[in-house]
Amino acid sequence: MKKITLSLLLVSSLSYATNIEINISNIKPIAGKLSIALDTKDTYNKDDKSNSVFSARKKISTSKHKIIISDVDAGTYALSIFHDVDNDNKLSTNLLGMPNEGYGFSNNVVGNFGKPTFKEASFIVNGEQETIKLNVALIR
Amino acid sequence: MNRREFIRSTGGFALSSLVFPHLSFAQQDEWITAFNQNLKIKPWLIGWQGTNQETLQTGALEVKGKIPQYLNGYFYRNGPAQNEVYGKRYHHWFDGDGMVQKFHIANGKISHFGKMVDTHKYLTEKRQQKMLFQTFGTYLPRRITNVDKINVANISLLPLNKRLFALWEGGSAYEINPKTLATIGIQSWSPQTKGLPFGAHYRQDQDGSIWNIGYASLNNAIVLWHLDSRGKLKQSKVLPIKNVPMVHDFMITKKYLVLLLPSFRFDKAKFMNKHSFLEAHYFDKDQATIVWLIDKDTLNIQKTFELPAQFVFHFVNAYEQDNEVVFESMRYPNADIFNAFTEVMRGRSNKFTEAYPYRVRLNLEKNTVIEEKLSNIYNEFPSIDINETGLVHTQVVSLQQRGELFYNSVAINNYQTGKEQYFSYTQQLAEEHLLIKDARGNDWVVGTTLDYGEKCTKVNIFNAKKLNDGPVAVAKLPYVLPLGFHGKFING
Repeated sequence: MKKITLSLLLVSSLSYATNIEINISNIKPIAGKLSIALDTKDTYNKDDKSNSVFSARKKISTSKHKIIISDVDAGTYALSIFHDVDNDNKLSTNLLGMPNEGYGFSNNVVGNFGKPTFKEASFIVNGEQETIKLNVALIR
Repeated sequence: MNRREFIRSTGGFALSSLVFPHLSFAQQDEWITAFNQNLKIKPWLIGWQGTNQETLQTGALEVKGKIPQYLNGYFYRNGPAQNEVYGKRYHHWFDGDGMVQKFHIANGKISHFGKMVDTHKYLTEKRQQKMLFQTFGTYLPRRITNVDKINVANISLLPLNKRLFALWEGGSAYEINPKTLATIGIQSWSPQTKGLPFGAHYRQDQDGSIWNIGYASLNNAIVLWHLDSRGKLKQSKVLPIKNVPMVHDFMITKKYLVLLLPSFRFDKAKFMNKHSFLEAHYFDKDQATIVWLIDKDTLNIQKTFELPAQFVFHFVNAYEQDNEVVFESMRYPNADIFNAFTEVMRGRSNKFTEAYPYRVRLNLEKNTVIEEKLSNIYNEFPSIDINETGLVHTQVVSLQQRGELFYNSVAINNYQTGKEQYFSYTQQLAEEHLLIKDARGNDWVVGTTLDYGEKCTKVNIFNAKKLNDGPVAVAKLPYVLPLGFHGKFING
């Protein structure tokens, strides 16, 4: 009974869930997979993306890919992407943790000698947009 | 000036400032204005003016004297060359984009070819016709994803197995073609070490293998490298250290790597808060300078010693003797030298050197340290016969300041016998001179000078046995090369 009340409340407070359309460019080489995660502030800095709002992997077939995340609830999110060239399910780095594979964040923001903050990479889904389009050019 | 001339001239000025906005006085970079004003009264500043040429080339140079018969090969040099980038001047000598110089010595003739290293930074700024990136001593707010994006490849060179690398010290080596000087690209020695700092002052061991270090200030680490004589990575290690000291050079002995960690340390918080890399360093006179003896087999720190607070750019060499590790350095009492290299970029300073040669004895049994000052003359840019690296060395070539200005003399010293020879140039600033052997095993001293009277760069060759007599050959270039740093000579 409690559960039903809660979902009714959610439906009444949100007009509709939003689709996020991501156009990812600068993918080189054409090999491996893209790894994509949509995070809230709580999960953004975690390497394990199993608790993220959304996470997926997509096989690479071209230097540009479009990915759509459907029905995202209102909230503040950041998108992290990396190019898993060697298919080892992680962002390969050198001994000091500097990335050896392409990566990117929402707002196309880059960090200063490191990862951008959640605040810098985040965007708002306010429940009124049908689709949000994001462009991310991978940094290599 | 009559009224018509006045109108014409002001009209001309207004037009020129519209068509060439960088010529407008209101907009001219203050450092360029200051430098140009001082250049008028201090002609020697021409060495720091810089060039915007992508290449510089001449055929056979005019030579006075005779180039030694068996001295044939390539004398490569590296240094900052583009000191002004699209209307803005750098605030430190170490900032400018690197240009590699190649002097080809063959059959008694010398020719010159110089070419900018096509780094990511240099090419991106060229494409956008704008100074975009922060450098060693000049802060710019643009975010940097990794240090190789601001690598200027401007300090030194590594010739290895017929390949040639232009070295910086904050990031990777840039490979260049030894003949054409065309840039091949960033060198990665292995996926695990890709992008790690590969320093400018490697040491080549008796077996031909290459030892190197790199200081990764943002990562609280010092990196150790060992490549074999063919350029294959044998071993690397990351040693953690806080407030990373600026370690420009190091030494090897038979058993050890010898690292001196100067009391000139990095403050990451300051760097991340709108300061240049140099501004984010502080000299702590109360913090001992540390010496690490690192076992060459395990790359573990085997012993540490403490010295009085000091700064060192360059070491002569280190060796083992009885129960001691002995090394010689060009030792500064503090890090004020960096300020002098800032001021010269606006033409203000004219005294640069306060480094004295020191010998340091580390007693491995008693764990004691003895520092001995070897001379009361300012010395820098030491060079030994590279075949003596890690062994007891017999003679040291260095630049000396024996006048008012910068380094004006070259010396060859045998600190064991106390015998010294030197030669002072007239109206010339000396760059690094190398002690080299020709095909017959004869010792020569080869180095460049900036002749600010004649406004040209010269290549000078001395017989090492008779350095006092002055150069046996002087080759004159038809232009000035910006004052640079380090070189290598390849017989051939």
